[in-house]
Amino acid sequence: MRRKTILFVGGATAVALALGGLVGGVLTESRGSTSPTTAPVALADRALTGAAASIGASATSALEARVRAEPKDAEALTELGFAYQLRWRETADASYLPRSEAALTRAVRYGTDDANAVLGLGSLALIRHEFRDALTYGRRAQRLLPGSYRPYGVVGDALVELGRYEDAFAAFDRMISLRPSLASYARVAYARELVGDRPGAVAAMRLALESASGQPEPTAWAHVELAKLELALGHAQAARRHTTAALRAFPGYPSARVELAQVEAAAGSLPAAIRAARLATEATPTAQAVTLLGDLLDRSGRRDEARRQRDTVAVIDRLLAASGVRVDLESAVYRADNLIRPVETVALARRARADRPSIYGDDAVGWALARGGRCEEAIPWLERALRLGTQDGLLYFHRGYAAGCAGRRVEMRTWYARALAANPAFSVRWAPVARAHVSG
Amino acid sequence: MKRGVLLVGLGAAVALTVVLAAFVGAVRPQGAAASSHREAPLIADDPAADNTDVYAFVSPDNKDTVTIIANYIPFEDPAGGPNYYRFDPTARYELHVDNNGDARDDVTYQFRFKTSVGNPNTFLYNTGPVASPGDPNLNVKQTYSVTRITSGGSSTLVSGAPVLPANIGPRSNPSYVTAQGVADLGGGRKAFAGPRDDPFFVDLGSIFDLLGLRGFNPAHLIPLAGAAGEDGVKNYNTHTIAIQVPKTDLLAAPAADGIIGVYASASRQKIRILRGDGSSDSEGPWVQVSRLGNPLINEVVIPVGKKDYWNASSPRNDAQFLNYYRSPELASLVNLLYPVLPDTPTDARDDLVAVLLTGVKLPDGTPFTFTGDRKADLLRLNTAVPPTASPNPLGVLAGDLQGFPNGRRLVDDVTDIEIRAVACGYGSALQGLLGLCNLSPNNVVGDSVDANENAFLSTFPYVATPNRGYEHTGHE
Repeated sequence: MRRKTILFVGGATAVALALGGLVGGVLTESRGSTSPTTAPVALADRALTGAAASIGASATSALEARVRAEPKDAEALTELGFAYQLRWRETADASYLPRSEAALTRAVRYGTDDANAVLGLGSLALIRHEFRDALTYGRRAQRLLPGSYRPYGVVGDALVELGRYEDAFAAFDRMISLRPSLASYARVAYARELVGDRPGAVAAMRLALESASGQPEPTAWAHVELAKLELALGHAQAARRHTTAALRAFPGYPSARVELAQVEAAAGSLPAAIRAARLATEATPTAQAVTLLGDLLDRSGRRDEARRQRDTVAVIDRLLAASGVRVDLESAVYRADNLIRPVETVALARRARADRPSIYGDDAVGWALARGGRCEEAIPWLERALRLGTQDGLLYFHRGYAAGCAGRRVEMRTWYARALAANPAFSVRWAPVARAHVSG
Repeated sequence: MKRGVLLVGLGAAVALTVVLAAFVGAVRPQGAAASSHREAPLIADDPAADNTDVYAFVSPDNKDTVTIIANYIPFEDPAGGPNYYRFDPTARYELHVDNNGDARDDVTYQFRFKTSVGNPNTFLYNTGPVASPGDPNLNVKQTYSVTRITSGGSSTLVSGAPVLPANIGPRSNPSYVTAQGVADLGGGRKAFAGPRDDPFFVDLGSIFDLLGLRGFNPAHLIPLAGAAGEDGVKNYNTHTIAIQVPKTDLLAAPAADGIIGVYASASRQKIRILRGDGSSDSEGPWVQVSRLGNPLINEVVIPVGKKDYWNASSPRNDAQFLNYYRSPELASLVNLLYPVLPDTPTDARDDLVAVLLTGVKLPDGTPFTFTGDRKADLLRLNTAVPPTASPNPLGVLAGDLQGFPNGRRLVDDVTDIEIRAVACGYGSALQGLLGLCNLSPNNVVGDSVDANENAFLSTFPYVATPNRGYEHTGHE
């Protein structure tokens, strides 16, 4: 069965599996340290995750059979396009994305502008960080679905990443006027977070959680978002409760496992955090999970192991790029963090910002400049990144770092203190740096 | 709503809904930094606010009262613990009654819910046998209030009334007493809220497969051997809200009887992004997210691209959807997929417009369910027609004037009735009474699922006790 899958999906899966092995390779000791009482729970976890994942797999193969029988069935093609996106979310196997694109493109052709297929292409463009394309598809879907809330999610999300916040918030407001729901409450929550209203974001995300009405994945998703918000606010206990609830609603939920590692790290328990991060990378080797594990290993002085994780991140990013996912912005920040070829990194960050002129695009350029030693030049970019009033510890830290490297140590410490006040656990890697300077 | 695209032959879209629903949560593989694009759900599957069916009838055991029932949350798996389905405290559930034909609410019953969790540190729904909704062993409890709203103001009829718990199994529920969930509102008025067996019955599996009707399989464009129908809603539960009130509570004074138009809805509250103006989240306007009057309209009549809009719109403005009723896509599909049947007219279907949007007049001009020229998708009930001792599931088509489309009883086989109406097979009774078309054999087609799997109760709330998780061994 496995062999068949590899043949079918081709190279990228094989690499993803190899990656799984690579990540799992450093796991032996944490397996050994699993206490006997947690082992049965972990087993049940695994069993349930397998069951849940196989739903997406079996739906996909049923749809593939339908499309083979009726190659011009626009509805089946649309469903298949969405099913491939679901599989990508379940497996992180980016080779599903070109196949989703192929199915949806054909659905649009044979279905003569089928609205759901257009939305599917919009959603795919968002996944690939092609935000201008996403906006175009979203606008087209708006014309095809008058009075529907659906296209506003694609349109608004794209506008956020394009830095057009006023238009984005207008789209979200329209969306929630048409249909208050998990999807629109979640977007209001994000908009509130961007403008610095974090208690408001928590309130909106709580409404999103209620609207999930206990459906496993949406419930887990909303719990993880709440965990992130609560952790940023320094409410570690609430964050832990939400993470646990997410894993209860959807056993093995990968982003909940990553969040659990964040919670453990914030609680000061590095071994527990490393254990949790390893479980997360083992289940789904996302760049996010592997980066976190690398940072945690680094912090506990295990630099060789940390470096291996970082090599893995580079491979994951190349795989994503090969499947059409633009990760320039994420790569630029990551490379700046790790001082990889600073001159090239600045150029990469500028390209990323041209594609994604959001506050995080500005931040990426500023951070790359600052890490490359161009400190004064960095500051206007990092100031721009703060223009919405976002209370993001990492944005404050970057701003402070630039001040420090420009020789203004007092200003640096003020920003570092602000970063820690905004979120005591803003970064596994940089929060300890900020803390050392503030207390030192 | 979730019943999706029943009958339309677009079963596909249901599967799409499932895929999209699953798509909502999911892993978000992303780049290295936390600043990655945040992939929030695009489509909201919202079962707690998904209104699936509405029933209205003169109560068989209490002729001076009318019972209105609305169901929410489709396809509840009875074994779906530990997070059993429940009403959403942040949503607003309403039963709407128009009593003068203008399709505006004259009387509204609003249900609101509260959830309390005894011990937040356990994931258990109950920690021992549950004898009643107030049992301390029940960890997750819900209560509700009912508010009656008229142009004269609003009054709370009951608050803190218990919602029945989930029916889990012989250990958790050694007995399951429906009466514990019936609230006494005084003066013979009653309310109910809680899980129930889904009273709808329909052969979803076959109908999704290119409008298949198993009993008529040989007559299909793609013929198969004939077979008995299979109830696709069998063994699933739903959440019911219901009231039983004197007819006069619903009618304009001083009438003792009349024709009312009924629909149910669920609404959610809008919130604002910027709260700088000091507004709180509890101040936003309520937005209707689902509605239902006549059965299967969203599924059969309204095209895919208009479903969201239809669900958010008011029945009062249904004239904008007139063409979908007059030229139903389903009629063309029936002609295409059942070539051996005589063709049914595919446009100028004023018969369907009358039955579904205005109500029907008798030949002498007396209104039977007619409420005026205002076109609105409402379930119309003539309260003067007394309950039948032995109801016929084919209702008015079989000459049983107390049944659908005069209101809707739990036993009414609305799938068969609507298929026959669309196929112009109204039957000899209606042909004689109203001169409606009666093609043969179109007047005998149906999905061959003619009754619910569980017997209905003889008293309020009538809907059968929820299927028990313990006995639930999967769906065929």
